[in-house]
Amino acid sequence: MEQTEAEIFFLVSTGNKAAFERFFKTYYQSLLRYAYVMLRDKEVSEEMVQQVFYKLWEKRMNLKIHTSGKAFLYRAVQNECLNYLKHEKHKFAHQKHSLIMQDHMYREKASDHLILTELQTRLQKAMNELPEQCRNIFYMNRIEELKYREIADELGLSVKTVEAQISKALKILRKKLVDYLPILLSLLFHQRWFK
Amino acid sequence: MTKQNIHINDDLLIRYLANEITEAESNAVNNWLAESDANQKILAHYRILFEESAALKPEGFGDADKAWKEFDLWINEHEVEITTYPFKKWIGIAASIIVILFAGTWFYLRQPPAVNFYTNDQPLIDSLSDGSLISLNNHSSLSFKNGKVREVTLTGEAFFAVKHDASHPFRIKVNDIMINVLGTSFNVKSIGNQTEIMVRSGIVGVSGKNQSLRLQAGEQLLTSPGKTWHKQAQNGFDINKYPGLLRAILKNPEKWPQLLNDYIPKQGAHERRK
Repeated sequence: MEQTEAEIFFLVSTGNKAAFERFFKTYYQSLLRYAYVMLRDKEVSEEMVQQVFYKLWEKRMNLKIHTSGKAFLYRAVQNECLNYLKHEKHKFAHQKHSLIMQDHMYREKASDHLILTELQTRLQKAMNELPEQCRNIFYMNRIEELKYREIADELGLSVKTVEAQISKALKILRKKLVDYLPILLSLLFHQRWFK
Repeated sequence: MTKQNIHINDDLLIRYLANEITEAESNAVNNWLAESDANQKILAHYRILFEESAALKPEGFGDADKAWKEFDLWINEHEVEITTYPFKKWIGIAASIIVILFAGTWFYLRQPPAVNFYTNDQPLIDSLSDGSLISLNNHSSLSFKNGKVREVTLTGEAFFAVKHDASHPFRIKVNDIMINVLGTSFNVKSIGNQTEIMVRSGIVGVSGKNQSLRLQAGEQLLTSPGKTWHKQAQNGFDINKYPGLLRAILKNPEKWPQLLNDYIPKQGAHERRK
């Protein structure tokens, strides 16, 4: 049975477990992808998303959502991931001296099922740094593969706003990453991206 | 339509890439691209960013059903389920009262006998028939009924490590309050008509005549009749933070109240100094 987002959120706030299950299954994949784009670690992403749902479950009786549900959930995941990254950075600062640790981390990275190019690594970082609404909309278009109209409907915005935010995102990304983009057009012709 | 009518800017190029563009606009962009290499380069840059960002998308992981099963387990372990019964009609209420009366009578008749524990000068560690562990401090008493609801009546002080069993709620009556538990551990102390509850793990629901709240691990509550409750963070109580204390208690369980008293004030003083 297809339910609107508002209905799902309402049912969740009644504290009903079956409703929460539907809610969980509706958003799980999407939130997991969101976390993964930020963290690029499968296990940690899963943990972060579970964590978000734990917190929501505990607060379900007085859940008040002022923005759209999706934006609310994205923010919750983002906060969780940022906390994690902050903690990791801190942890890493203590372990920096240890070559063994670095070697271990390197191997972990290498065994990751998707190794990123330098451009992708920088792109991922730059995407995380986009302003919130801009990032969410860009993300929904690029990762969730939603059309402008669908994003507008989901977030309760106009198509014009969505359009403007995606433009903004790409302009910011280009400005930040211009040094990593090919300089000569002749080079571009050899890239697979150019059609 | 000619290209002059359409102004080419970055916004249009980006819509072109996103395929959110009219045919006229698309033609205009194609013409514009044919004009110069520089134009093509601008579009190419956006195209790289556009496509590489989509390539960050993870593939093939995250099974929502499996994740839910894990989550469900967690809920059962950590939660006191609060269920509300939405009766729509008075007749529903009347019917349920009758059912409850019958069930109550039946339940009363088959209620198991209470097991009682008393202490004088020596504290006591024992297990209840449901598998939960209790540590009863000096000059305390505890009565336990192991029925559909596991029911404890307490005077004095006790530490509980409650065995998880979702189908048999664990309740403690102390003074005029009721404590609802699933699988957690916590300490309850009644001092006159005041009650102090400190939670070590899990979540505990506490309800009085006209108020109720939930305590999480690391939180405590001191209730007095007629006063509004405010939960507080525990001051140096979290036993998990003091592995030394934990080890000492495990070695000499019967000495736990004394060990706790010796240890906690010291820690408390240290915390306060900071």
